[in-house]
Amino acid sequence: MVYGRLITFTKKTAKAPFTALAMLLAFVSLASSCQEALEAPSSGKRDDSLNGNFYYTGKGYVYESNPIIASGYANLSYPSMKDYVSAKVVTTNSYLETPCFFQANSLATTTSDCFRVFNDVDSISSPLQANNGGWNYPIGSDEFYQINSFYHVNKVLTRFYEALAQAHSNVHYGGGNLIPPATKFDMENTLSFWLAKGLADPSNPSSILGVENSTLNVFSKCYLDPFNAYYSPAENKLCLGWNEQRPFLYAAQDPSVIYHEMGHVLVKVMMNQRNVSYRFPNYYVTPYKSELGDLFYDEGKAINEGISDWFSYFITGRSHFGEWALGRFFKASRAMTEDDGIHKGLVSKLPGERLSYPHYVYYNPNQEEGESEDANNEDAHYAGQIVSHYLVSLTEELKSCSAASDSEARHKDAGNLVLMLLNETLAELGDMSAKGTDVFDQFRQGLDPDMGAFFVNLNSQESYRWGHQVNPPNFRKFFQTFAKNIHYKISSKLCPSFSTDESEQLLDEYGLLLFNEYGDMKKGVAFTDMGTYVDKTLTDYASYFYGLYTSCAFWNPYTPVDNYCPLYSSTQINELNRRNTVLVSKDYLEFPTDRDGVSPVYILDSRPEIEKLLATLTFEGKNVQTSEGSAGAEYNNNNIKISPGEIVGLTLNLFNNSNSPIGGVQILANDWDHMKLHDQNDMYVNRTENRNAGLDTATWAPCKINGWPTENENGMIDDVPSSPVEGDCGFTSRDNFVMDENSAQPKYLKDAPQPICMVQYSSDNETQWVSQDFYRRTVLGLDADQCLNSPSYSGDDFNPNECLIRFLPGAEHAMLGKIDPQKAWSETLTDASSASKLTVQQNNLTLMEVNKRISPGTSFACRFRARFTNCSDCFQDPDSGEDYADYEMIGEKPFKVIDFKFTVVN
Amino acid sequence: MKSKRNKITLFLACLCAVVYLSSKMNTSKRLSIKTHKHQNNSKSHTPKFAPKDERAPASVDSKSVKKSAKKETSVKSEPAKWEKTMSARLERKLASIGASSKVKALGPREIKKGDKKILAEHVMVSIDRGQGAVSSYEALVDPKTGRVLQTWNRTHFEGAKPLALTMRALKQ
Repeated sequence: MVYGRLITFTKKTAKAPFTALAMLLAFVSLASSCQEALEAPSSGKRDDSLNGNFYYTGKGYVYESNPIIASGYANLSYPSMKDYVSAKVVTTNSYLETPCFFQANSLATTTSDCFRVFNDVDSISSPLQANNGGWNYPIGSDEFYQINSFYHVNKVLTRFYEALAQAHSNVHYGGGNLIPPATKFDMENTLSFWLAKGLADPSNPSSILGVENSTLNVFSKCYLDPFNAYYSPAENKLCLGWNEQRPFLYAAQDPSVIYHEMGHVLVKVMMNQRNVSYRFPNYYVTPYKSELGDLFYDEGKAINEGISDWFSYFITGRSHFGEWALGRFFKASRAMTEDDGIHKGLVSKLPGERLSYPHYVYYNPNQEEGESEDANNEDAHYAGQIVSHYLVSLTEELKSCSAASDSEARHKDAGNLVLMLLNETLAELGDMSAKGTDVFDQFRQGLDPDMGAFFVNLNSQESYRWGHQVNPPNFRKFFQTFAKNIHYKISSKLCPSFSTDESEQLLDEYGLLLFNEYGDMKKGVAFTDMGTYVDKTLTDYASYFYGLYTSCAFWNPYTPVDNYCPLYSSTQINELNRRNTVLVSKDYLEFPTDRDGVSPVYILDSRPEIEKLLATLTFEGKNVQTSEGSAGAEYNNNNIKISPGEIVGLTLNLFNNSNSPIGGVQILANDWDHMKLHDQNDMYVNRTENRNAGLDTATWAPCKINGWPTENENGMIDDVPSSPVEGDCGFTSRDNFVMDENSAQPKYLKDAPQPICMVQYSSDNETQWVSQDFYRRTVLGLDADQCLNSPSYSGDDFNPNECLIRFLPGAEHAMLGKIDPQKAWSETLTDASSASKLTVQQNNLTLMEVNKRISPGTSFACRFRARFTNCSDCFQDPDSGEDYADYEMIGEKPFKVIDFKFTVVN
Repeated sequence: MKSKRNKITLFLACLCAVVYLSSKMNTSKRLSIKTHKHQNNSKSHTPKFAPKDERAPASVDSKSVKKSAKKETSVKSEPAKWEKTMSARLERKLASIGASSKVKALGPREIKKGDKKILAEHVMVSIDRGQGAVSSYEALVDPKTGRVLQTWNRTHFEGAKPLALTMRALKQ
């Protein structure tokens, strides 16, 4: 690079006269001084911003640690950080932007800059330029914080790629790989070592021309009030907050915050690495990207936060996060080890005193005495402490596997192993192609990616719903997959001294030994053709799935030869290792309607609150589109009842009748396979064009589940319950598809999932429970366009079985963090036995709309499904002892079915 | 005295000339740096080892695609009906928190639904509720009705405060 020998002043806002004067002074000054670039002074000194110490070195001053750590003074009130800078190589690039490099099979480079750093969202035209090949900007200036941010983002990425390359090598090479790896093999072709997206052909929507990387824009002084930070994957934006309340305070001053935020970015990268597939010269890109966490609070989000905290430890080696801005000014820093002084009570590393699940789900170590009654602690960051504490403990354990003599190298070696485990786990769970591994990736074999065997997230079309709502990563699913990877990749290969027993014992110390088997013998469904399938109930299941392995080996042009022999059974855990983790049967999750003073259901029906909730959920990106014209917040009358036209929030006040806390209570109000066609030949959707065409329209009726409704009440039973066939109540859909897309006219599939609410219908002195479609036509005489989600909006997907009562798609599942033993949810939250009011947050409720045309006095029954994470029989079939396959989550077996009955009144 | 003043004038004139020239040099240098930057980038983005047989067409194609996509966006004037419907619904929904939204069309996509392929519009939605809080997400939209089929890539806010919703015991 040729920059000339004179000083340049490249700050874009510099005025010309000032530039000339400064240059004159600089010229005169330099004329009598040495013109060699000097080494920067060491920490504790401040260099003059105008000297040439860093010319052509790529160096600049940065904060290696946050002010608290750098000063060693916990009560530091003002960042006199000029005393704590150190000179580091920032970049030899001319601007604060850089591609990323990753070398696994061959060297790969991002197709564009991997990231760039800017000051704020208004200054995105061009990143900061080097000052004569160096980064000597005044300490504390905006430019300085950009340089500091660049340095730390680059640092975490460089370390990540080093560890990822090691992980890739460990799971794909070196032999002894007994289960197919989830880590993408050909990341250099799919570009999925970084944020990648498909390039759609504008002239042909079905064609993907290729893939390209996205550039992450990092803003070091991003205006945010209140003080905050965020990562936007849609806009590829990382915003490190600042505001004028405390103008000296920048999120970018704390490297651990930068590492944490980058942790979220890297979780995104790892989760989506399998969502691009390549076979020369074509690409397959899944329509949606995966994310870890769906609701304001859920366990996926807690895991995401815990992993991101661990990334701070991964880089710094310190087991505390966010000491500076978060800790000093907002009482929100977090520990990652039980030895940390922040902890209260009986938290220690002694057996039984670790941060265990679900006891510590609501644990906020920053909370002072007396704050607990009003504070709502359902917070993903605090629940994530269980994850970060476990990951740090595991890293410490794995240091014993390192042959290195110094502690820094051991930390690095152990960090590499943990990152490998995280990468394998996230790659599998985030796979929206639903294959779980390259070995079963049909696209790579030149076949249809929407066919073949699916092992995770149901199938390629329903994977987003499964991976984020119906069967999302919770503490059980995540740590079962994680533990499987420890078993196969650590204990059986890379570090036998850390045995599977030790792994299980450590998990158990954190209450995370939530499974009985590792799920290594995967259960899936194979579509041999649309409409035909192979699943575990069929006799040819084993031979079909084992047939996917060729002579106990798998090979294609893009993966190394390895012996992935089919497993004939899943590996069981050693029950003796389960001492702290308590599993509870779903039978203990109850919905009592007759407990004295305890309401079974809480409702939100005030117009302002519903409007604010809908707006907030929309802001959060949830699809809560209402049926305008048939229901809306304008009908809400705040009478604490369910009235026509309203949109109401509902929280089921579930009761834990066991003697142990239950965590991660999932409540689902989405469509599921719980109804049966009266006549299996009448399958057309009850809409005008079908009736006009003389087609036989469908009449659905509720299956008899848990004895209700009885046959007299229109409950459906199967002819041969022991051998259910397609269309029967005892048979669940294998794909969760609703409509027969091969039909020219809208037509259901026999096992189509149906909306959860039915209507009470009185006829001939009989009370029956019927479908909403039947009721709207027979009793109310409503046309389709008078229904909720009418055809003018739902188009071909119109389902008249949600004509009267409908749950909004973006709010049809809820999460309750924890329910204490022998308590209802409301009692866990408030500690009051008969609360008439309950303050909750948006993840605790579902949103239901009520058609304004319903006659007051009409009664409904809605079949919610609920389960919880530390459940003994919600994820595993108690009869077979095997985990449920994904398709079984379409039915009732893994859940407690909750029948909520109510009457619509004015 | 006069010659001394002349000498000072001459010295200042020389100094100004030096400053002027150096300023000129800087300007040209800045330009050359920019040029160099682009050369440098294109160089650094080329993998040192050529890929086997696979990826070359993608990045080559990507440039032409990006260009044509931009061109298409720039000539677009009137939003489609689905876009208007979607934007209007968003605005109505967001009114209670005083937020505003923008919908950016990213082009049509074909997605599979069972055996059938259907057309959807890929969009990016940005919602600004003030004080720097801007959320964004991607969505697929039914172009026939403006219905949102799926959203993803939602913004991850740290330290966001939950809504405090006052629920009351349902009266039956």
